[in-house]
Amino acid sequence: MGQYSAQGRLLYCFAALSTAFILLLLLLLSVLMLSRGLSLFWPAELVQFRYEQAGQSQVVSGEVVSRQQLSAQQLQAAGYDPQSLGQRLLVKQGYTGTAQPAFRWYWQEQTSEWQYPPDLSLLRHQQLGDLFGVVTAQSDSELELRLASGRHLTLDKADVAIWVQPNTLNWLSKVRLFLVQWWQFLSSEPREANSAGGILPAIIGTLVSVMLMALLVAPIGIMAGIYLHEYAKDSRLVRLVRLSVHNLAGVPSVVFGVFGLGFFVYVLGGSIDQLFYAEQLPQPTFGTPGLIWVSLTLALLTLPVVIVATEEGLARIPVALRLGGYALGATKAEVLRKLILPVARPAFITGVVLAISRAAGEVAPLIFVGVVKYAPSLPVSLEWPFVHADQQIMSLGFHIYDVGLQSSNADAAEPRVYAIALVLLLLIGSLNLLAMRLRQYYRVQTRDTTS
Amino acid sequence: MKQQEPTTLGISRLPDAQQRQRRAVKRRLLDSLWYGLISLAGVTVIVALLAIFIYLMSEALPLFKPATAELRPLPVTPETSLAIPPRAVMDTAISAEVLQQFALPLSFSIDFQLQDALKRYVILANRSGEACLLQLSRPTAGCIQRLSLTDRTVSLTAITWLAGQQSLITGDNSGQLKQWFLLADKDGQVRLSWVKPFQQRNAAIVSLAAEPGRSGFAVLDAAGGLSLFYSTLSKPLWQKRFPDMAAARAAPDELRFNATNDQLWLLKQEQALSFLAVQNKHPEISWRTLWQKVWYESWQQPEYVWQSSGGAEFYQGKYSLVPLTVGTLKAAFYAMLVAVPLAILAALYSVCYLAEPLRSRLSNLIELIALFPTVIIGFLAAIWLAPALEQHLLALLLFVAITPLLVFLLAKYWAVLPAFLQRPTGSKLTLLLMLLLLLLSAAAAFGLAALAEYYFFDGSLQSWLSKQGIDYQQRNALVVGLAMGFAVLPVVFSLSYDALAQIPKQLTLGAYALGANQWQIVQRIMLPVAAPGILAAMMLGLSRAIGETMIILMATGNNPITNFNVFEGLRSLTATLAIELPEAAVNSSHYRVLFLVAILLFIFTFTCNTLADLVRQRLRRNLQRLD
Amino acid sequence: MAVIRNATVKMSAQNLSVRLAGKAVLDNISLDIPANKVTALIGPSGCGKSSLLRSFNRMNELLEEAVTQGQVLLDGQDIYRPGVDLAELRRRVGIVFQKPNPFPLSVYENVAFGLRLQGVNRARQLDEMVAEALEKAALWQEVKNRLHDNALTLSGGQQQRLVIARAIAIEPEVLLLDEPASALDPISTLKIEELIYELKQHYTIVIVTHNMQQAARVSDYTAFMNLGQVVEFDATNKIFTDPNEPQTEDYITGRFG
Repeated sequence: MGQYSAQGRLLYCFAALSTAFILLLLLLLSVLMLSRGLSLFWPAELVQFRYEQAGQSQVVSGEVVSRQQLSAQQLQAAGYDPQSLGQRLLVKQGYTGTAQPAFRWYWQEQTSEWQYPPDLSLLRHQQLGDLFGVVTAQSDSELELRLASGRHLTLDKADVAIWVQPNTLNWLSKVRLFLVQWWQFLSSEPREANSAGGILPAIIGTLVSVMLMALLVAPIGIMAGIYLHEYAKDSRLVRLVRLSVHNLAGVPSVVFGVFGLGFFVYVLGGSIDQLFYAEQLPQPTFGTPGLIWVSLTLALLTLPVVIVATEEGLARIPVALRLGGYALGATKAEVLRKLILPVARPAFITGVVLAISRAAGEVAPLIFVGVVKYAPSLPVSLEWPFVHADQQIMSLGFHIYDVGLQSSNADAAEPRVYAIALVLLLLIGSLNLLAMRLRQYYRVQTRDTTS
Repeated sequence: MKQQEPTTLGISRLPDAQQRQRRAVKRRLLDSLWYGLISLAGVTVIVALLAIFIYLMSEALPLFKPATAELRPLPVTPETSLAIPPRAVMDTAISAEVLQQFALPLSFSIDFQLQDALKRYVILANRSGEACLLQLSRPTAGCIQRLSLTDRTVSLTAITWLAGQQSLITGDNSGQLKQWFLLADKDGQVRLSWVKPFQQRNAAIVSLAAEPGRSGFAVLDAAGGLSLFYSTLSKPLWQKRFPDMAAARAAPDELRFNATNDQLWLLKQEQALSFLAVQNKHPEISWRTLWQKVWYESWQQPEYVWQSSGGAEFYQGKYSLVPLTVGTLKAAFYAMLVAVPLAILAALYSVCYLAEPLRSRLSNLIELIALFPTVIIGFLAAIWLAPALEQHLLALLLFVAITPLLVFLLAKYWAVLPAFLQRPTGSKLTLLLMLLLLLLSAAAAFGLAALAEYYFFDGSLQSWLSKQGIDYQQRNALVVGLAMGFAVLPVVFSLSYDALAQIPKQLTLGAYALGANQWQIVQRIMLPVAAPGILAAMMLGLSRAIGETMIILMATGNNPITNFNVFEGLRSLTATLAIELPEAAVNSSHYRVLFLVAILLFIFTFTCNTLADLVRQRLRRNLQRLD
Repeated sequence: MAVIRNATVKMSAQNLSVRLAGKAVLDNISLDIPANKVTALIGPSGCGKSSLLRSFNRMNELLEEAVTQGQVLLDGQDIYRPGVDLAELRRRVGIVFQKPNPFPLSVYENVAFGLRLQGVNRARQLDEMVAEALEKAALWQEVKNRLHDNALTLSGGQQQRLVIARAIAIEPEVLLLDEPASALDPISTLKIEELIYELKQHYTIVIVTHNMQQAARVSDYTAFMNLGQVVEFDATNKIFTDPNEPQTEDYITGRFG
């Protein structure tokens, strides 16, 4: 419809270009996340090569993690000869001896005798981490491993979690190994300053804090929403209050964190300590960052989300439904309880789910109120009171920040972060999917009522 | 009129009247109970949410509380908590033997002498204001600097180090107060240099006392005037005249602070006369020091500095909000530069050129971006984008230049395209065409970049830039702009989309009927009508960018520098909170300044959002009137 | 008033004026509603007939800000006096709106809703009363096998009869019908009209309608309203054959309105 002028066509082209660019970025991001996140646990080919440097020759075995082409400038700056060198490889060589790095860079030009030995094994050891070598002998309880350097190690079989020969695996067993590694990643504790092991405490921390938050925010937020929509008179003041509550959702989350630290931790927690835990002072119990403050801060942060969703849900209820209730002699509370709330319930749940999804990805405010790099024990246990509200916790979001940027062992940590990010993304994605489904269901319900 | 039976049906099957009466009472009670409960919860929540702001204020406002001091009589029975504080160690004089080693000018009578804490320099001065700086390690050099500490006709009456012993305060009999810094000059030679005057007192200065642990000092003048100063401010924080102190009998000759700076003792020949209870918790903070250049001790000139902690034992926090605000604005500016054109054009495309099922599918897809937690975007920006950009900076710049060029060409030679692509219904295909064009342009940019770096930039753009004097940091504003632009994009997009999609169909249809073309409709109708909505979208995007924490924290170097260089890092208000609040001591100036930062963020984003909301509401009302 | 013969007065508006959201919609109306008869309110759109109907069980105040002056008597007692139990008033004076508005519950629960509020809890009694109400609303035969289906699955005419069943289940004394058939097809309309005829034996009915024939068919008395006032009130026969006021005649014969 309509004619395109020259300017119109240009506008059209630029509009399409921007859209295409955004989609391309989204695609790129998804591919990056998926490929990096998934490839971490896909069994890689093990290589073995000879490396010569400064007249010395050694055999190296392991996984090639990444390759890098350095420019002449960079080489010169680092004091290398730009003529003979250029490409370097990052090799994960695993445990090769105490105080040896698990990851090392090698110059491509100085390698030779590339092999893919089928008997080269990958062993995951409880204490030593990953090992690459050839198993030369084994008994019922022990096995002997020859490392690339020629050194022999005797390992207790009970300590070996995984033992595979990746170069001989077929596709199916690679898939199996992939799944096993993912499972171990999800279900075990981190080791070696978060650069190895699993992320179970971070997952549990995120889930527990977010669930506790939902328990706090759902009843309060829904009640406040009902109040604003059903009971508050439509005065200028109420409109102002409503506007403020809605716009609180846009206040930076870090500000809520500041409030959480100042008010919850120091003022509220400090008072609780003085009233109930006075005998333990000056050692604080609640007057220090902890799970309960994380959940409370998140609850405050997501309160506007729940209130807004509740109000929107109530606003979609047709007037006829209310009038029908009143016409039968029901009181306001009865109309609400028996007619409106059941119909609007999916909207309320949607609000809470959205709040949970927002809270799950939140990091900045939690740095202040109880999320830490490493928590020695889980916030839930089988001992009373089961949920330990005063304990510090780990969370997926903060784990990404910490492992990604603060790790002392960046080569080992970096690939793991993609996997952690993927887990967090999946969690948030599925929560939003749930919210979308609920909303659809709700729309269908209310549409039927109105027609 | 006759009363009627309840029903003409005869017997009612409902419970009898009495029972229903009782039930009605119960129901009414329940109804009120619900009302009470829900109202209580609702009002509590609303009050609590609004109280957040009040609490933040209550933590920050003590910063601006004016200093007060009250004269207190001495207790009749001496109390341990009210003992005369000991004389500060820094006043100790050097021995006469040491002084004899120096070749001092004749006729120099030593009335004042001060030694610095590291025992490297000594300042000698006499009443006429002449001063001499000695370096203890070089006795033979004599005075390494001779200067006059007062104007010609007035005489020096008091002199003291400020805590930290990097600057000196002098007072003379005209009531003038001056600050001097011990600074190294261009040749590395240490010199005493005049920095600034403080507000003049009404009478000759009798005594000066420095506060231990911070750069404040108290002044007593001959007219009985007492005042408290702080090194960064020329006006006194507090002043009061006590006329009876001017009388010779009651006049104190020395002032002395206690260790916590909350008592100022007035002494006469080492005997306490009385003391002042001083309330002066945060003298280093004022609007002036937060927003203007401040000349800190041992700095060469006044600067905007944010440096909350330092290595030295005596350290004065430097809290200028300027570098942080500039950092925040810089990051937000580059993010908006990326997000706004992309988002608005994409919204225009989906509303004006796409039909329904595809339209909402596209908008849903773009809104998916909002699901990415910012910590993930920040991580990717720091770990993946920043190094990639460092290597391929030129390629990116070329890509940004080449792509519009290609689009111009495409639009010009549109007629050459196959017919099915030219039709407006082919807009879905245009998207694919553009995707192709983007890939092409990216390939071209990479190729050209390699050539250009080799031929024009000596092999590397970065080293060329640094030769031009432009600093390139790996985690810079460009990285933040791209990453945060991407994060803000869905906000701007979806609100612009809403604004455009709200325009009633009959408005555009009417224009088509009058023979307008697409460009005219977009330019004359769609954009003007939706402009307030798009403006609101931009405001909300800006507020998001200003409040964003994790991306900035991860993708910049967090250096508090005050410039707009796209290749250098920055430090934002939000990142400062994230980094420093966990370490700030409760109720210290640092802690309270961080609360002030939080309030600034709160006020700015809240106002931005509220304005945007009001604009959107007005737009919606106007459009409804059109409908 | 003299026009009502052979009947007692069930409800009566006396000098009733109503302002809705600041606009005067009813202006000093006085009208008697005879017991166990059907009274029709007719008049052009916006004449205030629906507002008058809603003022009979105080529904107006639920929709917008309403200011009511004058009295509405139910069995001689003013329903606008302070301390009136609104829930009980609305039980006694039921209302059915133009558009059927069943609750998104089962057919059974729709009817049982009001009964439960009144304290009818025993399952057997509930079953009986629900069935009775549905029978009286001439719906029982159609829904007896789908009592537990969602009420929204019924057709429009069925839904409207369900709403009527729901209203009469709690034994109201007066039934207010606000254009109950205007959203329905002719067959459903016919059924509703038959139902009204049946119901008037037990209830006092006030019906607002746009449809002149319908008013003529179902009602015993008719009030013609215009501009917030009752222009004429008389037996339906009289109004439709020999109106006193020229305005009424103009409207009925279609010359105005």
